[in-house]
Amino acid sequence: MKGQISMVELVAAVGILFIALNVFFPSISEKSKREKALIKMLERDLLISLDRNGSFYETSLNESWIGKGGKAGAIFFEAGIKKDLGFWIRYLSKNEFKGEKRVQNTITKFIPVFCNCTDLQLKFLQTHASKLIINGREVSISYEAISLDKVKTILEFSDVLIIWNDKPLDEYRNLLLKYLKSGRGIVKISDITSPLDSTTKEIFGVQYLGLSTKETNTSFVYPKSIEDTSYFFTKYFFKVPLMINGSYYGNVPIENGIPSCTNSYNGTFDFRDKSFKFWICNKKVYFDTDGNGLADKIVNEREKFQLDNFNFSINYVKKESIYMVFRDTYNFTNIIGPSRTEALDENNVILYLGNYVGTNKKVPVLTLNKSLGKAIWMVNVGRNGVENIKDDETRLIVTAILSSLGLYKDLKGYNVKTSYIDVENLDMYEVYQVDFGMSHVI
Amino acid sequence: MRGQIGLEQIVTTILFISIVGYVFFRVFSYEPLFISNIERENLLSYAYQVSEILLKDPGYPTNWDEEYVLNGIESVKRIGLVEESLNKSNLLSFEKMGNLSEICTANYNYLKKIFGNNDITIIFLDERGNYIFDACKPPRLPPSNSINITRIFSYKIGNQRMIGKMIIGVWET
Repeated sequence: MKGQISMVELVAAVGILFIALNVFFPSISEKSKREKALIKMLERDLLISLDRNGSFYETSLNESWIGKGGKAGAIFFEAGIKKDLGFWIRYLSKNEFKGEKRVQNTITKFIPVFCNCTDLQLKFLQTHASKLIINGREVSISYEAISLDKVKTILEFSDVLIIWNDKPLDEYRNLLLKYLKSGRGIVKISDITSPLDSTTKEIFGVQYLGLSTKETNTSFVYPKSIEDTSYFFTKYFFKVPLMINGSYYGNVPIENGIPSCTNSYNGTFDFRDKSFKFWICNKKVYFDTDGNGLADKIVNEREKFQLDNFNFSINYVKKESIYMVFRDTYNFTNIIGPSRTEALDENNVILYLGNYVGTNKKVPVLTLNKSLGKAIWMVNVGRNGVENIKDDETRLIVTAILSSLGLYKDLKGYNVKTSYIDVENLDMYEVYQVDFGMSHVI
Repeated sequence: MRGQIGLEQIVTTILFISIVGYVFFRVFSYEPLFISNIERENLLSYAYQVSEILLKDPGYPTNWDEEYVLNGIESVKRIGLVEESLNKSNLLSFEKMGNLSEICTANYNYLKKIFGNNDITIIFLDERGNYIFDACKPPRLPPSNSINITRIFSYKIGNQRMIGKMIIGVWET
């Protein structure tokens, strides 16, 4: 019938009309970014205030910085409940946030290291290579023995893996590559006296060569710029104060009219083929430089001094221990043993023993291959038993651990992040970054 | 038939009224929401500006806290809390914070004038949430829907450096 429409058409027309209206008049939702801006402002305020307060360095490297009872936790929040590394916080009783901080580009206070090594080697590391003080903060390296078969444990709970043996690594290739890819480092301590398995060759970038050398003293490849492979290794080797322990002795035995001192602690400082006795007493260190068992030289904290024509300083003198720094230049003697290897890339050589006879090839003592992650190979300084490892060789192992650390860790899972960069230079120039992330708890 | 209304006419009339009603409802429901949001944003901006001046400026004259004690309130032209000898943002002078609280108690209206004739509350709390000084607030209590902004700062008492938080509250008057 003319002028009539069916109900179906009517319903369709109504539907189309409403759809069209929704298109032409969409519901407008304005999302303010004010909340994010306010969180960002709080983060920046806190970081700047800590810096102004003079406590930024101390608090940012302190694990309890933001947890319950930590400075930031207390500032922000009436109540804080620590949860793993992060924290849950209540702010003005209205908004709830979660937050976390992470320090980048510096050595943190605790370094978990897994060691695929013997009990004796593990004991040696735990006793002699575990305590450092860097720019006034104590750094402790914890060592734990591990079998390479425990893939998951290695990946989750360590920053560095030491493999202190000649074991072929083909069987563990995937694990080790995954480990390196996750930003962690591997240090292999072994003498290479025969052709290597392909995985060791691939990861550490070295291969057996078998030529002869006449040199006995090593040389460092000193960096020309921060880009050079040896930059951080040499920086740590010459700047990081490493602990040498003493035990109770009593009165310091003296000669040459130097003042005596009671209640001393006595230890030995071994390097190259020399050994020097020392006594720690009243924040000073007494050295026996002529080997007659009597102290003839007094060294103060942070004073530069010479022993056997090499420069040292003791940056921290504690009651029972000293924290020694090797200064300026140093070379090892009789360190290489039977190892005859070559670096696949000569730029990876950090410490070497001259050249192979009749060639321009360096004889590597320690290499750092960064092509797959940070993988360090060094000669086995414990080949004659760990009890014969000297303090300079211990320093080499510790430096290898520090140099293989991954210093950047992403701060994930936070809406708003703020970074703050600071510098510290008491023992070693460090430019570090603190990332602080916060977000609302939904 | 003349004078009779058919089903189609009823339906189209209802349809027309619904559509017009729908459009009106949608358009006019936005306005109060927008206005309320804009007012809130405006207050937040104001609180932010006040907090920025307090945290990043020493005030005028820079030693206004001393001028206030010597020459009275009229000598204070602008209030900023930054310690003038160091002039670093977020590093506040304990004396200036104290004087701000004092001015607030004795001359709230002058303080209000300095901050642009808006009512305001300023509270300084230490790390543990305790009042450092008496809260600066108007003679009559602020409404419960005031907008608050919190800032964090550092201050020094003697040789001891501390961290505190400042809460600024503003509202529509």
